[in-house]
Amino acid sequence: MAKFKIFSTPINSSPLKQLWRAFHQNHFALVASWGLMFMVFIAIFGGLLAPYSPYVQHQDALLMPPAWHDEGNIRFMFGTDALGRDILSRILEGTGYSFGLAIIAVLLALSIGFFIGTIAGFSKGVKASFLNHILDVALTMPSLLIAIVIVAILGPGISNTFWAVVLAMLPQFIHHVRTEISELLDKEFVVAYTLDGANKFQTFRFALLPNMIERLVIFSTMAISSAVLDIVVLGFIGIGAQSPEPELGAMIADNLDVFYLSPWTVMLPGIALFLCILFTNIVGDGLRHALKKRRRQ
Amino acid sequence: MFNYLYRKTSLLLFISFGITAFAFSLYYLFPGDLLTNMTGITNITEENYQFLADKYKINESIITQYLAFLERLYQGDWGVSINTGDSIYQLIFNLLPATIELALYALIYSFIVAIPFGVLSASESHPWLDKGILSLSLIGFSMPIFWLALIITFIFSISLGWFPTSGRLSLVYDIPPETGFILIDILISDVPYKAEAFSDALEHLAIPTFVLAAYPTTVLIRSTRQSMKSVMQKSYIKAARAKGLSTWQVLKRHGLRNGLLPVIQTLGIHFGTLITLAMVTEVIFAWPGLGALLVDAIHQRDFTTIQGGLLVISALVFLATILFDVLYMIFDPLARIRGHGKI
Amino acid sequence: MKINISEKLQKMTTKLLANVFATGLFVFLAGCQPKNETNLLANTLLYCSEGSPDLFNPQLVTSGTTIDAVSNQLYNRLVKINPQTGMVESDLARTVIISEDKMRYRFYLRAGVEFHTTDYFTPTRTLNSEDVAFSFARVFHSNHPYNKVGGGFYPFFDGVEFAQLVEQIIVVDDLTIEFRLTDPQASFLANMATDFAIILSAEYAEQLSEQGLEENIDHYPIGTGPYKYEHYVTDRYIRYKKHENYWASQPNFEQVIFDITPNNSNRVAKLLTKECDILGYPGASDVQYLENKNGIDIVEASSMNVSYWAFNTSEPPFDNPMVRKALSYIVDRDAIIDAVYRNHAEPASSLLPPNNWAYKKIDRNLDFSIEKAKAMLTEAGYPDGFDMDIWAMPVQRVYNPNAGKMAEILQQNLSLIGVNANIVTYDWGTFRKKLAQGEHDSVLIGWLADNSDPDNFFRPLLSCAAAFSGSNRSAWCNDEFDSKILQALSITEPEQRKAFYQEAENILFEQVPLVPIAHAVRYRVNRDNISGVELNPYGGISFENAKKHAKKTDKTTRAKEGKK
Repeated sequence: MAKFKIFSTPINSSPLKQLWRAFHQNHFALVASWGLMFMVFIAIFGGLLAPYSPYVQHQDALLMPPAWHDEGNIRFMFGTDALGRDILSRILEGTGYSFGLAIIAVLLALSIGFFIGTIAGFSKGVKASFLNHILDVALTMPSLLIAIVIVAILGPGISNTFWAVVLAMLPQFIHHVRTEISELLDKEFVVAYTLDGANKFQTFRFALLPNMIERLVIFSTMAISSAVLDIVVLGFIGIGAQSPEPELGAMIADNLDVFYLSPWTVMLPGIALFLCILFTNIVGDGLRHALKKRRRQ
Repeated sequence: MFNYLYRKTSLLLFISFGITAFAFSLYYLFPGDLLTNMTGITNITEENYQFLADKYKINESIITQYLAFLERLYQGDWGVSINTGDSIYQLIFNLLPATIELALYALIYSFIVAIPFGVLSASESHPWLDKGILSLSLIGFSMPIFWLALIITFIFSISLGWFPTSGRLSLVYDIPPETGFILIDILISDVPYKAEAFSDALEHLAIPTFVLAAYPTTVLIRSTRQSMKSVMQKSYIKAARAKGLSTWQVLKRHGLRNGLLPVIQTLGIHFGTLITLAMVTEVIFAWPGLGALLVDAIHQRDFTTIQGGLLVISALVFLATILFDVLYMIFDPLARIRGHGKI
Repeated sequence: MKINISEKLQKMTTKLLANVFATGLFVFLAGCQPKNETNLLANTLLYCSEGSPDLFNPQLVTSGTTIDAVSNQLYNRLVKINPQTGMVESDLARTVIISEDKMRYRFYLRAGVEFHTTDYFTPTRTLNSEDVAFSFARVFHSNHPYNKVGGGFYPFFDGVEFAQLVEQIIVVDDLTIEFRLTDPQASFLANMATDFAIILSAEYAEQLSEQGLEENIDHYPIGTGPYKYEHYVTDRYIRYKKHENYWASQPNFEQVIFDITPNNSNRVAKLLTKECDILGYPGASDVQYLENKNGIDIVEASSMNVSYWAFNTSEPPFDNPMVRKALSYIVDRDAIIDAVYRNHAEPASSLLPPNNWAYKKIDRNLDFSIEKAKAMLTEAGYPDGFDMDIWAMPVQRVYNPNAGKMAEILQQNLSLIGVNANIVTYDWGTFRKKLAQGEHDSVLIGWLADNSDPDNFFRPLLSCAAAFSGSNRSAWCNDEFDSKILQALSITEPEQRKAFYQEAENILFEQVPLVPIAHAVRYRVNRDNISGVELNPYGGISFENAKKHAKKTDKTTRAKEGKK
């Protein structure tokens, strides 16, 4: 799709737009971003799309195979589990729990982390050094382990899992924002800006923020995939969401009993989960590549 | 060099304080009776209460309590499990080797697999190979570990029957636990069925190790590829090429050592995740390690066990991180000068 | 063009995946030689059990898990029940002479019965009357030095009030012992044949007393059974070794191992990969799955059991019979039998299972009706419902293959009448401990008969004595009910007894301390080279006559016959 360029014109669009343009050229990632969008759509509206309530037990249709199976029935597209609950409905709703909650958790961690990280980025001296040490310690602990610690204190359940994941990701976001800011503060154009008489807020708003945002987007995308993993792993080992909540990890653990008899009860939620994470990772990867490409230009 | 050591020791001290203070604070963070959380004894009688309150100094200041806690930690008096009444210290250190063993083998495995793949995919001459390896590693990266475990078990043990599904060693073999590392235990034991037991232990290791290694392998492939790519563009490599060295010679003499250095650092960063995943793997494969114990304890709200388990696991993660950092420093002369290894 | 690339990619991916895996295997199998089946494997019996035993003495428990692990492996009783005929037959006692008035039972012991020799005890004498006297005195006499060891509660014996029944135990001579009863109770011999009435070694107890280690008697067991204790790792495995001098016959295995695998699908997987020879308590769906697998025998075994939902009647709102009755209407037995038992069970309308002689089919109108439940709950003063806990036992037992699922069904139905149910579970040991302490609101559990006497369903589960000792999960004590079951015991004429039990059932139906849910079918599942495993309809599993064949047994015995 190369265009003839007779005159070279400087590109003046925003960094995000430029990033998107570079991202666009990677077809693989673009497809994945549609997939991601679809998953987000399901995470938000899945509950409305679901043909049944995820909790209702159809006693006349236990362990019904998926519709494409010989013994399947079109009533239950993805079949039913051992209690006769519609797996499609549970996956649609469960995507909201596992994937939707992960996105919300990341957004929340991002906002809090952004706030604290910015303040930390501007501060110097003993305060900064103490925070550094704390962050160093917290960052060494993998987020899943922190989440396990928090769940151990709060007790199992989906809401506790959510807060655990938010808290577990917070140090990473603070760290990320803080390093970004302190690195940018050393850049010449920022120094120039300050010398022009901009106050801290103006420096932040007009010099730092536009230059941070694309990296933050990429970082958050990658954080989503790890947040999903944390939520489902906690659900799977039984200390996160509790059955009968249709959280995908807990669902898989719940259906393990009938795994050999009717593998689809485990495979289908697993595939949904895998797709969520895969799309997120591909998009995150694509964005990173696009950024690299753009910076090289 | 001195500066480096000084920094590391101070960090170590800070971390030790951090972990123990955190573990101590759990006494107060956990719901339930303070003294029960500390001792693990559920039905404390009147006369016993006074004795324990004195021993654990719960009526004195927090600092005194904390110091008493440190002393007990040092003496190995970690209390007893609320549910079973077993000594936490013994429980944990009996199971710890199993966890370390699993993580260690997975790490070795991922090294052996990931480095050749990473180097291969970094080579410019096979772009298709690069794409393939990258896609594969992306898939591996996106697989929730328990789902991967289920699929692998389903294929290789249930359908094909090649490997056992869970455990460390067939119970048929009676190996006295000396070190807690099963392979070593078998080798030093004097049982008539040594060879058999050894191969059985390896069979039990195969699937959990593979599953656990999936994550570090993908991470390592990516980081090897990236660092090899940047190294291979360096001028000293070009110079070596220009001298007429073959690709292999270039790699061996100049590329690998420089390219693999950042990989050690990556390993250090991801070791914590590896240990956490090992905990999950233990749960899936009924591997009798610390992770399975901890998850069980969380299920059963056994606070003393949770506290001990968390203490040891976080200490393990920190120690390993510092160890990798030191390793990195030993291998990389430049880092020694910079002295700014980051944990 | 695009399709081509993705195809290529796909092919490559598969190839690479294969490569990665192969490399991994190579590393791990480099040291392996081809495995040759040695004697070790042929001489070992592996049983995948569903949970850990509490301890190694059945006198102190009612848990089937402990009974399975301990009773028939380590110990013998004076008399036992023949699993085929259901009749009482001799075990350690050669013969039993019963007096005319049925008040005196004289047991003549076998001579030369050896106790286990282990690294913690070496017997100097064979079994004699002292051992029998010791074993029962421990249970009956509250001032016996060993009575309080291990807590002092003997739930089974307390539940049937054995101590009150036996007036005196008289050592006649070395090999003769007489039990004198206060009352010619019909169920005495049947109770003597249960898995609880085992014989301990008095000599071992003496040794422990000298060492001050009395507690060890229940944890490092010495008995006369075919296998002896070797090693136990909590929640992982029990290892028994052959008892070389077993009095009856030479045991067939060098070692018997209980592989403790609480996870249902893990247990099935182990059976399939030959890590287990025998599968304890298959889930209902697993039976369906395993039926189509080669190399696995499934036999339907007879079993008297009931699963029920017990309310803790000492706690409000469950102290109100109307609330309990209301909740009983939300139990959808058909749905439960369909989903949880996969139709391998019958709906229970009474505590007694249909295969018990005292059972009488009465249509009790146990229909599932949300409206009735709602109305009754409103009448009881809870129009908006309440919050409650349902404790679901964490393991599979004969009577309940999946209490968690059952709890979810109940939870769903409860939500329809405004009751918000929270499902609680702990690991099996903790669960039983907390249950005995009465920390629950309601619990899904069940009962497997210890003998053929109907009394076994009533007194251990619902008598006031059992409420005190802890095996009455409803903590329910009703004088009328108690008097009915006691009256039933005092007579021997079956029809009269039956009538009393029916009256007791009626009280049960009115008061609803528990809701009977189902009587399950029991299955024995093992690899097809195993034979002779005995599933006692009244209790534990026995490996005394189990054999492992080098060659598979004749395919015709492959048990489809059990399938209905």
